Amino acid sequence: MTRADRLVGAILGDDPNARWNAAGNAGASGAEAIARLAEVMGGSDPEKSKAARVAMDRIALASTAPGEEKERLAVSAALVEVAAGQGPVAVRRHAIRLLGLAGGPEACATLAALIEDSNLREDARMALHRIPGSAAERALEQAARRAPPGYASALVRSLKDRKLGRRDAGIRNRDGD
Amino acid sequence: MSDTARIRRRSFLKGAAAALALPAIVPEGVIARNGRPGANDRIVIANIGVGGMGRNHVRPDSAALCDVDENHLAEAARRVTQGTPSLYRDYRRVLERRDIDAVIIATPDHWHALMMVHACQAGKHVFCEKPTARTVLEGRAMVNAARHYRRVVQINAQGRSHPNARLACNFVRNGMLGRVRRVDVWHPPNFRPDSWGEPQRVPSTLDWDLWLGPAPWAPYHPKRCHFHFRWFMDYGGGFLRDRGNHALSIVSWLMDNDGYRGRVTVEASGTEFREGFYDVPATLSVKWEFTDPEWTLTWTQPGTPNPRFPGDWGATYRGGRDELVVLAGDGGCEVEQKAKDYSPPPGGFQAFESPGHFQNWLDCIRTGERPVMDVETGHHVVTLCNLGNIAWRLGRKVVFDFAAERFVDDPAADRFLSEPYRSPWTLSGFQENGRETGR
Repeated sequence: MTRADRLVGAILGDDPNARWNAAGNAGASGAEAIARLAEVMGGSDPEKSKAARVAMDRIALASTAPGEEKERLAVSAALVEVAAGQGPVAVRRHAIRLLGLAGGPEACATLAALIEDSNLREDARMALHRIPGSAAERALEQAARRAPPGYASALVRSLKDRKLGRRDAGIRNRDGD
Repeated sequence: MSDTARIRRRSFLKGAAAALALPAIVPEGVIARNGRPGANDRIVIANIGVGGMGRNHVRPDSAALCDVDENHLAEAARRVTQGTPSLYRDYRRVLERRDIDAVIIATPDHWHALMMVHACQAGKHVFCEKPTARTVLEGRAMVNAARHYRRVVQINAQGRSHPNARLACNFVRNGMLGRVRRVDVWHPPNFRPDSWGEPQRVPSTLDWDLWLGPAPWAPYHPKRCHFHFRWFMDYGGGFLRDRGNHALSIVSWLMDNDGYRGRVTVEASGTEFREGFYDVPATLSVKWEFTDPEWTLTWTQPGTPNPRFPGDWGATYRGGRDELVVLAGDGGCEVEQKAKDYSPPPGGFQAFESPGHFQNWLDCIRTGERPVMDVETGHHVVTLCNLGNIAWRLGRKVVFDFAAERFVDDPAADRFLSEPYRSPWTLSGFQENGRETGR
């Protein structure tokens, strides 16, 4: 049984103490749990759904710790799968949001493509806005060229904000800039 | 040319998020020659956000009231007894008014920065509810806007104007406790949710899109909106950034920490609410460790009141010679009798004796001085609160450099320094540390 198995099992089990203990300490459970947690998050039991969301948050943010680049890339890839998948919009929105915190250049193309989805475009734009580095800027530029006229201005504004106002926060070294 | 005359119409148009056709924005009528109202000039005030705490800020002579909820507006209008206030849903309409000199902002946290920066761009002085900002970069933008447009901005962490807090400040800053190495703040837990937040129909009296403003879109639910917004990280930050902002404001004042530019190490732990849709922690413990001078601040929620001088929430200052308990620190503040009996020696530290938080703001508009809870102090204090929440969300120890206003060797933590805004809102141009760009 893997750590991911144990985590998902505890969240789906009947013991709320075990569920929340597992969710709150899910940081080390690894990227392999992400897809299954997303499935639980999209389920009908609100408490298990919330516990799954909390566990996804813990895994995603733990992967951003200095020295965890390999794990971060794996988590980012798993989140990209959820974001671009066929799950409930709320789950995909949450995965996109986590990509804004844990994603890097590897996530930018998917996020740019999601801007074409009217249900997800604002979340995707905000995630790209948050990801530092030239890959995110190129993705915003490309999305702005493809976006409908009514939405292109939002993308241009993100580009301008990044260039004018924000300091280079984030994983600049990971982007090779 | 007056100060406000230097505020270019173009700047505000550029900074304001939507395409607005604004008139010139200099409130010339009441601005004296040096850019400040004279002693006998009336300062014309408008209120933005008049529900909740904002209700208490409505003046008998408020010239305009603004809220996204018509019910709030109707109730607030009844509090105006001198004249008939204009009523607005969109704060930008208030900022267009040439006759308004100053605004009181009492909206949820996620609006503070945008409204305050736009108000400064429009030439208005600002009295803004605490907490100052939702993020570090918002706070920096607010400071920069206040300085660039030379506006007086008071943050309503009104404990800084409380007589008992001042007495406590004199007691601690004059060394009566010896060297203080630890301050422990206790507070009850965050409110427990009673709903999973299933989407509900937006009331016809509420502009939900404008309520959300720069925050990510979310379906309407009454427990997400008025008052309860503080239990969501997108709009509030739990009690740590709510009453905690008051408590930490008093701590920062008594510990002479307002101007601290060193590093602080922050770690936090907590638990989630198992039921309901609030996303702030149910319980939270935070530790901040400062250097030069070395001292430790803790926040425990729920915490245990000090049995020697118990109260619902407060702080124990632990010095080498003695301890002092200060309770609360918002509109109410209590302190042990020994601080009340103390008189500073000649030449000793004397904390500023505020004539009242609001009056201090009005006085400073007339004199051009910095108010007792100037926006830069508010930015420092709310940053302490925000660092606690960031450390909890990241689940690891972080080190923050106050001089650089960024984390040390943790670029992923730096992503929490700002929150992307929902389109079309933007604070572009005011975020850089120590200087302004983009104009």
